[in-house]
Amino acid sequence: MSVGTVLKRLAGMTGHASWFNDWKTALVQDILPMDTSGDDADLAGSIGNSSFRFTTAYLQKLVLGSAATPTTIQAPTLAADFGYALPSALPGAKSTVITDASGNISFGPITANEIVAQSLTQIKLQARSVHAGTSGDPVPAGGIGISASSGGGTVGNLSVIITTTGRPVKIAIQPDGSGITTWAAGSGNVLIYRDATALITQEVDDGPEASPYIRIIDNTVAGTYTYSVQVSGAPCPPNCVLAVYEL
Amino acid sequence: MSYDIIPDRQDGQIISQEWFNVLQRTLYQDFVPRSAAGVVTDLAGTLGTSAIRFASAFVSKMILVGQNAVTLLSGATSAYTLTLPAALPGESSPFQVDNTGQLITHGLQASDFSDGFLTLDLLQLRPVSASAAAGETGESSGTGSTGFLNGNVTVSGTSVALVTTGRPVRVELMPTLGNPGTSQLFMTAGVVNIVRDGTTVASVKMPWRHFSFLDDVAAGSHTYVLTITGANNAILHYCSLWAYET
Repeated sequence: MSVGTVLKRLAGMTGHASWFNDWKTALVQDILPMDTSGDDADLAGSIGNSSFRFTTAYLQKLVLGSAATPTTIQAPTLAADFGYALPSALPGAKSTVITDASGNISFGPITANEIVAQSLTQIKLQARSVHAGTSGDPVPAGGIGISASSGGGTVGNLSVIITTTGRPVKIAIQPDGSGITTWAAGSGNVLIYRDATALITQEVDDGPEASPYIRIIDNTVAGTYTYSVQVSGAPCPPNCVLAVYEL
Repeated sequence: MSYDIIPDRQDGQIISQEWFNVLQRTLYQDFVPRSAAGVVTDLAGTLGTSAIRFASAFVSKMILVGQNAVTLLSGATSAYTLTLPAALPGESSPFQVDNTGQLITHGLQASDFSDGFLTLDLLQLRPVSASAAAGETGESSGTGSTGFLNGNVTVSGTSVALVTTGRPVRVELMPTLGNPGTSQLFMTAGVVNIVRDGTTVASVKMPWRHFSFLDDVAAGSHTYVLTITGANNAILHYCSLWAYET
């Protein structure tokens, strides 16, 4: 390798052995960049250029950048050859780089089997926001709907508009926290609707089945629905709300 | 670089200064490949061979030019190392760079995800069936119109099988979907039980319209069913037993 200057020659000069040996030194072992004076110089030149390329660089290790802050790419220690071939096209959007058992690289979304089992803790799930479920505040996918209270017996309050992702939907008539509720008198039915479809009819009475607190699970496809309650045979009990959310 | 042709020398030739200076111009600044005739030529040679390799190439930037170009450029403000994995992954795996600059392939773990980022629509759906796989929702076929039940009975239409992963299981008796008939649950005497794999895990005196129980049970395949003991003219019309992991 060269650590010094490869000097120019002029006609009439004697060719000393040291000058020829400088060439040998420059061309063996480490080959260093030199400037136009023939001096070793950091970043003085390139190996090849964009028009004249070497076909392959056989290296054990590639060190990029400066000695103080290098980036090193080193050959793998596998017993057999393997290469990483970059995909032939860019991904359509920001995407994860994935390698397969053959060492091929591709882009793609993360699949479930690439996630370590039981690694996703509850805290990784986005918090579920609570909405009134009205036309002005419908429940988005993943949200929880809690309607206004049945208050003075207005059953129309027990209605929730929700967008679902296709998971089972829990619908519950539950206390609003303001007081005890009970069926007023006689017997009747409580019906829970998804849009115009009655999902269940539950008998209630003023005896042993006086509690109007009812819950069901609706199995339906993804969509935007309105869940509502109707009663027959007696006024709607007070102090109830309709809670709706996906499991 | 230079575009000089490096000529062959013959015995007896006079070596002029230009010959020496061709060599000098060849070696300084950009260094390009030359053919065996000494002519600058694209793809005329390699740097090292598979047997005779350079130990390291200290360069500021490496551009691999084919149909398109790949540029390798150091961008870190401090030293870091990218080392290819020492073994192929066993299956499709994401690439990651660890905090020592190692290029690794591994399954994603909790620490790879930011908190609170998975929305409900990213989770697998929970299909409903009477024999639910892990993560699914179990629903029994429904009791229909039971007539009067007396004595100790297993309530037909309340059996639901569920494969669990170890999370607590919510078991609930609720009205049957589809509005097949008015849901009623009434009995003047007796106890309603939730039975898991032949073992009673929850009991409550009736009347009780809805029955909800959180079962802390190990992962496995479990079957839940409703029984009534000491029933006296009990009715359990159009009710279904549901079971799902919380």
